[in-house]
Amino acid sequence: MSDGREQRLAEVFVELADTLVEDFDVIDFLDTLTIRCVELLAVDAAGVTLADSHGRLRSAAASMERARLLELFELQTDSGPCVDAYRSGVPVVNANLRVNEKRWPRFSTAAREAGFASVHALPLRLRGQVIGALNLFCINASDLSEQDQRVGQALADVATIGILQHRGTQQAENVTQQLQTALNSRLIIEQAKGILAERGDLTMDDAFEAIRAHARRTHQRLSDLARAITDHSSQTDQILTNVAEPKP
Amino acid sequence: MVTMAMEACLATMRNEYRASQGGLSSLASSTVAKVLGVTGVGALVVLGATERLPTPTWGDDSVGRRLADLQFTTGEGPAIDAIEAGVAVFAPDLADLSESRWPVFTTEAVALHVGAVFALPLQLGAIQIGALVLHRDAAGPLCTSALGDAVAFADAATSMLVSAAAGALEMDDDLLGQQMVVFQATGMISVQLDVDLAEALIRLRAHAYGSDQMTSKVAEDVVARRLRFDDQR
Repeated sequence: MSDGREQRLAEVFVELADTLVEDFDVIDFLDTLTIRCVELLAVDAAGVTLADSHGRLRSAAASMERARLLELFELQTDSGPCVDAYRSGVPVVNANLRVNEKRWPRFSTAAREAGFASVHALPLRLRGQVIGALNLFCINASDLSEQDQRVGQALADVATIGILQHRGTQQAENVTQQLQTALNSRLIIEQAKGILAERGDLTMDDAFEAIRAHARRTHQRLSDLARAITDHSSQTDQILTNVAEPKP
Repeated sequence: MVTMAMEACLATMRNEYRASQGGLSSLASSTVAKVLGVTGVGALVVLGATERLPTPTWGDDSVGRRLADLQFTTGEGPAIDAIEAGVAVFAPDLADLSESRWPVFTTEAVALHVGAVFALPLQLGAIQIGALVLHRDAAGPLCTSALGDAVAFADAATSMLVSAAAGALEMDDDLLGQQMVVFQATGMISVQLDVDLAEALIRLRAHAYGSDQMTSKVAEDVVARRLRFDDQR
């Protein structure tokens, strides 16, 4: 590993550890983590899926908000690399989509249509339990180096720690409940995106960027801002003003 | 994960709904309580309630009914907090002296020999629909499998309540699935019609049911700007 990369790796782990302060925002944390995955590993897109009460995987965060990427997670209800990693607890690496056409027919077709050639899925492990998976997508069908696989699993483990560290405002300290709370936070963000997209005639991607940028600018938690938007408080005008006139 | 007994309960719920649109009332709460291993279970619902007061709508055991009424009248208790905060609120040992979050509720509940209360929010993102309340004579935590079942039941009850409010003859299992587009469309429709998110979701569900489409399909049309809800009045 080059010195520059090692340096960057250290910085990312420090950044993620720094995020895990009291009262941090789990969705913001997971979004940052997926973006860092793309930066650090030889992959082009990343996402985190978490299991709901039925053991179905649902999307919690993605390195890009592109609708097609979200669809790829949604397609994996009963078959796909994430499901395999989740059910077995074993990483799925270097899965060429052409070779795995039969293994995951619907998923392989959709992922190839979206421009990806290979995928990896790393389980989010908690002692004997698996709570979800980190999904990595590559445009080229190149293999992930052993080094990248180790770093990827370390990032998946950090994601697990983050999710379990996160507490709601009350004390239901249980994994099932924590996953449920995290997934519900994601839904609030989606509702807020819809409101802003309609108000400002924006795409969902742009609406999300606007919400995230405004949260950073005003030092608010992403989820708190999203909830304020869904309450129809006055903040949408301010957010949209900033979209119209980007500040340097 | 959901136990077989709870899966059977959920299947009954779907069939009953199809047969009568009776909402939760068609399902005996004692059956659900037995599966969850608690003394009783009930629900308080905000969706469609006047002045957005959580109203006791389901549960046939007398103690559970009393606990629900108590929260409705005093405005305090685990269900009220669960709805407010959108997270589960557990009181595994009500007799514990440190349990002072809800003085009136706790005193009454202990007098009724209730040892533990667990409230789970019924919600879809920012939409608060109500809370599911479990109570048990014996104090102590809820076991993991019962919690998994309770969360699954809460999800199904949420779908049922929204479908019933939309006048749909089928419960929509898809509603709580992982279709982000449904939640995005709900936000857009709330702006188009100048209504809250709950109303927007009910309108979306009703439109899907009325046009014999999946809710997610209609939602896709909304997000792709092929369909507007303010055009059709």
